Amino acid sequence: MESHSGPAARLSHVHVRYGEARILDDISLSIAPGRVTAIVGESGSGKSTLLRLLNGLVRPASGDVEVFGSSLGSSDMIRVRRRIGYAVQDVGLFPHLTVTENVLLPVEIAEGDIRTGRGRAEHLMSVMGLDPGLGDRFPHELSGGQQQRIGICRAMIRRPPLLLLDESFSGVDALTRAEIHERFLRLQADEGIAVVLVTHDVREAATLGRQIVVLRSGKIEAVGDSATLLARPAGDYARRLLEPLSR
Amino acid sequence: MLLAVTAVAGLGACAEPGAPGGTGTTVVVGSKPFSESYVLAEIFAQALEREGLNVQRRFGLGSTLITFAALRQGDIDVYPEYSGTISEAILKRPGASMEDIASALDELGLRMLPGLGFSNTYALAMPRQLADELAIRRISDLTAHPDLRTAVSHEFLEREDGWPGLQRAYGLPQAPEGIAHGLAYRAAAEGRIDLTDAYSTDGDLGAWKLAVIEDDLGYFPTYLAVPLIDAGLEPAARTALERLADRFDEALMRQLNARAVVDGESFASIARAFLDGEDAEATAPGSRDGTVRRLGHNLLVHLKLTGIALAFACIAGIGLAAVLYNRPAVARAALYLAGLLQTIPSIALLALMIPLFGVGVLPAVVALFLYALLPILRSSLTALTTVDPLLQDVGEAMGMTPGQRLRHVLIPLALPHILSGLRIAAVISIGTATLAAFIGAGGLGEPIVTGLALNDTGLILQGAVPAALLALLTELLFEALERRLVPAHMRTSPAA
Repeated sequence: MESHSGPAARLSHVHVRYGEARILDDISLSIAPGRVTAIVGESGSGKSTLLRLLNGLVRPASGDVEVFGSSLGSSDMIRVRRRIGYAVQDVGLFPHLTVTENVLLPVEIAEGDIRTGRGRAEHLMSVMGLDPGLGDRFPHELSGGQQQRIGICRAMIRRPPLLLLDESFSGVDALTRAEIHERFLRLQADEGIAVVLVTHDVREAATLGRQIVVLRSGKIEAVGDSATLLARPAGDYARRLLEPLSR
Repeated sequence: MLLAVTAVAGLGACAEPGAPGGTGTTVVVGSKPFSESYVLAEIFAQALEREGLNVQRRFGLGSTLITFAALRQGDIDVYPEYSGTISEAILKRPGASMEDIASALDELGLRMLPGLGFSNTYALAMPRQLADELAIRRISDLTAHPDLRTAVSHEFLEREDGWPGLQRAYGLPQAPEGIAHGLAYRAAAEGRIDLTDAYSTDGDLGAWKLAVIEDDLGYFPTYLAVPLIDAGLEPAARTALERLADRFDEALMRQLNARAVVDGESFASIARAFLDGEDAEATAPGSRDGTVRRLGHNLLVHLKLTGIALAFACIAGIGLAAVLYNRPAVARAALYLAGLLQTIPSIALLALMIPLFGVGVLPAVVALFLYALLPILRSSLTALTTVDPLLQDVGEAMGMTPGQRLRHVLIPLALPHILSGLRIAAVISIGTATLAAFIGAGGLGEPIVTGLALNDTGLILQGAVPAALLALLTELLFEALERRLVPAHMRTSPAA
């Protein structure tokens, strides 16, 4: 795997529009390697769109998106995407594949041979607190929270240097969530993965994120180290948004 | 799976009979789907074979129109026709002289050979007992009985020299229904209809206790039986057919027809006996071996017709769906068009194919293809448009190539719907293909068409039962295929 120094991803003056609507407005942001960046904001603030810019599912109207040191505009998207994990709230497990087959699909796509991924799949499932016996079931036989965790396993199966998570823990029940968060952070630190996490839950952002980005109506309202930002939120909006944490 | 069907179909092609065995060109003999036409055509065929010529038989073609079109297109070289039919129904020149007819045919590159020696004119017939009760002897007598339940053959119902002209000439008050000629006499004998059209040389009028009503105004023209040939027919064949001139009379023809229809003797054996000049004893209508072989052959031809049509409909239907599924407006137009094709009655669609593709396998395959297209296109479009966009997103984000997205996302998710469409198309094709015999494509429809002509229920069942079993088998095959390819929770059929 080619390596590069510098940020895992960088957005420079990015604008996204759907027709007349400005979804993202002049976003400049640097995603640090090996760390978790949490993006918080109300629904409709453009969080998911920002995430989808990073794997090219959304194209900017102007500005530049750079991943692993090269601009997406001039990259082989298929190669780039195979190095980016992506897990979303509604998961999108393939109904015709078993749980294990779903987890191993990125390996099959990229390498044409899933044998190399089996051990890793089992490991990831146990980290996520999933019974290995679930592997032979079909996705519809799992609960929503279990499906989400399988989605995270699938996103991480090829040790991607960059992992994009969109509300990926939202369906996991509160009791297990703290445990899963902890295990996830340990794995993330061990493997040095850069993570961009989109969440509407500021507690989750505070727990997982080293860097926090506050997004409002398509603009960056505040950005900073989580400790600093939580101690002294810049601006009214960030203060109100982060208020639950100070209680 | 398709490969398998096509492979079986290929076998069918090899097993086709009448393939040239000797040297020189092959003469193709056609016939219409009624017993006298079969008997005469078989006599033509054997007479040609006795001259050492290769003969291919294309019997039981759907109607005068279809058979004549086949001759004009060069798909057949000769068939037995009647002078009256040529002038009235084909050339639309009522009352034309034989010279006029000959010159008109000449312009079409066709020729009438010298007459076989008998005339088979139209007639009306009714149960003898009823005719006696009502004192009906002549067609004029019918005007007093408007309530007679009348059913005539479809061709007679439409032909200018058939019912329309007859009704005008006599002022007949009855309103006839159409009926397959092969069924009409039985229906009359069983008292379900009172009056039908008949051919004066029909062999079974006596057996069904039917009386012929006299044409007292002399309305029906003469229908002198003749071999109608392509002018390019090779001289040896022509000479052989000319030798049949005046070898028949009406009594002999009625007797030959009776042997086929009443005694159940095979056309081949009747023709052999006639050409041998013997009053040969009626032989059993085809040995058991022959029946099984014929059945196997018909089955293979049937599989070939439906297999090829389905294979192409699959390629076109699924391919078209793949191209159109994200262009809703065009997709809708394509569906309407395919739906329109579906509304054309199958026998009409088959007949419409003749000017384009002649008779035989090709037009049948094209018609079956057009029928199979709608269920396959519709189900494939439904399948592809309902694939969850989230899953397509996930596949793309995973770094799938377009080919991988097709293989890992679109096809497996669309498969249950596509399979159910294929299954419907296959069963429809198997049923519709029985009608292909009317345009000379053979298959399981062949015994059905011949059986209708001979009023032979056994023969009809020889086609109908295997066709039904084949449809059932196809259902089971698709069920097994679904069980193999689609996980239980994604299956569309309740049984699978």
